[in-house]
Amino acid sequence: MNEYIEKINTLARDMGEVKIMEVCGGHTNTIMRYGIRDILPANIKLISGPGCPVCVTSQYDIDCAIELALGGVKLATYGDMIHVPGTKTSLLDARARGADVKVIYSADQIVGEKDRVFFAVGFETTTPMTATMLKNNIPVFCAHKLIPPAMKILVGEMNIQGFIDPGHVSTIIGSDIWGELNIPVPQVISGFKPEALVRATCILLELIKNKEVKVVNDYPEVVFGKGNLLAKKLIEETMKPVDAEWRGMGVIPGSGLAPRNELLDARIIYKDLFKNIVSREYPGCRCGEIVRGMVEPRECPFFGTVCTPENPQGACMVSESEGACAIAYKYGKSLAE
Amino acid sequence: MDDKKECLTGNCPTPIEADVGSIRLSEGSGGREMQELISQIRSKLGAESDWKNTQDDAASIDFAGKKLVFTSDSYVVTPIFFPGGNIGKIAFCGTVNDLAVMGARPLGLSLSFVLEEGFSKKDFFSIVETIGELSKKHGVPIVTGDTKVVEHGSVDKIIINTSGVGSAEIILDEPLEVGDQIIVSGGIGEHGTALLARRFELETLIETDSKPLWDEINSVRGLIRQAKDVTRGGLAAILNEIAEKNGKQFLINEEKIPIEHEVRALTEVLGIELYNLACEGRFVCIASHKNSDEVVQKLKQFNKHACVVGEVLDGKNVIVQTRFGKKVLNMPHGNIVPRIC
Amino acid sequence: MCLAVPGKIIEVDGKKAVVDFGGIRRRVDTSFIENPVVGEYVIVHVGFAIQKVEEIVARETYRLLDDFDKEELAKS
Repeated sequence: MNEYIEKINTLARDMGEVKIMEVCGGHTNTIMRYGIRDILPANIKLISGPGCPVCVTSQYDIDCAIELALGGVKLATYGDMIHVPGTKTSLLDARARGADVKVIYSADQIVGEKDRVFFAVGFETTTPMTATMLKNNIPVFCAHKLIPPAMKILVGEMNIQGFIDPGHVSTIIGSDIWGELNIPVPQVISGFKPEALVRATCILLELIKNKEVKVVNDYPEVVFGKGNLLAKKLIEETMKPVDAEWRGMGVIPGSGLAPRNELLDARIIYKDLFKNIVSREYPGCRCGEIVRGMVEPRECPFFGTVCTPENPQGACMVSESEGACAIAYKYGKSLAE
Repeated sequence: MDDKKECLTGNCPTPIEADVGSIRLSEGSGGREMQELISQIRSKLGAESDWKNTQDDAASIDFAGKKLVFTSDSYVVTPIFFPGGNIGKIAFCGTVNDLAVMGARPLGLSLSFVLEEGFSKKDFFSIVETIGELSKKHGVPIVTGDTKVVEHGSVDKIIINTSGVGSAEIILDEPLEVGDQIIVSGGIGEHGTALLARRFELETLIETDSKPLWDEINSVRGLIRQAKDVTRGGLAAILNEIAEKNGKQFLINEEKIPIEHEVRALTEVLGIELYNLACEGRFVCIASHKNSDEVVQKLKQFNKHACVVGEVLDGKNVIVQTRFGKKVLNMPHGNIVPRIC
Repeated sequence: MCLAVPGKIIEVDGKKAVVDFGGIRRRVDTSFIENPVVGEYVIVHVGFAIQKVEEIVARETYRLLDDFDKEELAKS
């Protein structure tokens, strides 16, 4: 491992500031947990992009889910979603007031519950499970996001010189697709061990230095060219691409999914419930800039003061495993403090 | 529900404040919120007395030339039966251990139940028998108690309270010095793993580590400065508590922390931190550099994984040296939620 | 969004399988895997196997505890 760190140091000496973005919350977690930013040279910046599904879910979608729950609709969703603050309240509070919100950790836990709406969040890794639910006639409020369209937007405006591509997203969609996106900077598909991320950084620096724009699959034991064909087929059968709103990034064309069967699309089934929703984020909350990698969590005036994991004001403070703010709060306390 | 208030622009939503009017679940999870709640309770009680160690696991008072040590704890756990034990075992061991880590030999316990109407008698007596067996085996009698039954739905099956009295020659609260060694008495997180595996429908052979710690602590109490049992806040909570109380910095070497195969696997599968996993039969103790080898050798007779995991330094915080960089280990907060991502 | 961990297939039962993750076992859905066979390794995400992998992937995931075991063996 030291050889990679040494090589990074050598490469960095002849380079100016280099911004590398990781777009997977799992990567962010490893980077922070193992203090990887601290061992990199000062001019090599690892920036966390929109890799936390909880964080990028729009305020409107969260408000809709809360409205469903408060309106007496049985709901199921993954762990952290229930803590995310909506405009007025959260799913957790809705549950405390008697709403039926079931937290699941595996998609098969609600197979058979056809009167329960699944509030689906997540990126490509998680979409096959939602597709399975749709196939089993479970209604879905779909807030899934697709990573590649977001990356195309970020690369320009953030002046990113290289991407660490998400590992398990690539397991589903395959490694070939990254090369077809016309992203003008090098990309490395990486695994989740700290060693893998150091190596991915090293490979990226080499590519950047040599001005080579290509995709390196550095997780070939788990990621294959075409991805998981069975999963892709089921997604194609059950869902269609739609425009989707991201927190902090607005509507990105073709970056979301919706059930093909309108009878299972909770956005359509319950559209009357959503009529009067007026969504607002907590004024001054910088989550939107944080998911784009424009500011660091600590640059937000609320970080650690009015916004803490116990009482999050913004979505990035919720997921301890993926939210940039919650991770920074957990691991990022400066050693000098 | 109508929570719009005036603000500068006139249309800001009110921040979602923690509901200060009601107790939150996380205030009982052994982390930072619980500490805050306890300090609020203290500030409302606050009577001066001759009792010492009132901030510790058990309080002490001089009595007949010795130290009388007293502690109390209530137990709720889901599920009430889990691999290797049940709530009764935790209720017995937890109170014995709170006495033991002060250096006190447990003399006797009280045992009180709050039972839910409809709770299975078979389960109830199975729990009572567990406590009876432990009491006989470890020579700690149950000397008084109480039983209440409440309406169905008022509590979840069973709540147990045990209080305990012990006696000590010397209370284990010697000040720490720079260079002291931080020792854990065995593999970490087995209780948490057994419980979480059951809760999330995972199969594993691992059992709770719950056990009375008096014999272990008795074997090293002349060699150590302080001890504290690791409970539901896991290593993160216990290390922070000791470091803060003593005004010292702890430097922990992550690679040294002993952990069983299955525990590591559970942290991977659920995406949770090893440091937040509960133990019910492990303790952290601190000994001088000179004594530390002997302490570890003695503790290894009880658990082969006992070892030094870190060192006491000047400063504050608990710092963990990972196999890459260093990081600060914070008090845990909130409830354990498995990661999906 | 990607917590997915490798494990070994212990039992296959139609579209379901029991997978062992270093001593922790659970039932997973294998709809997205072609022809799962006992003894093979898969990566699992929220209850679904999403990819067959080589044994080495699983071994690397649980690398730390392997070291721990080796150390213990050396001492005993």
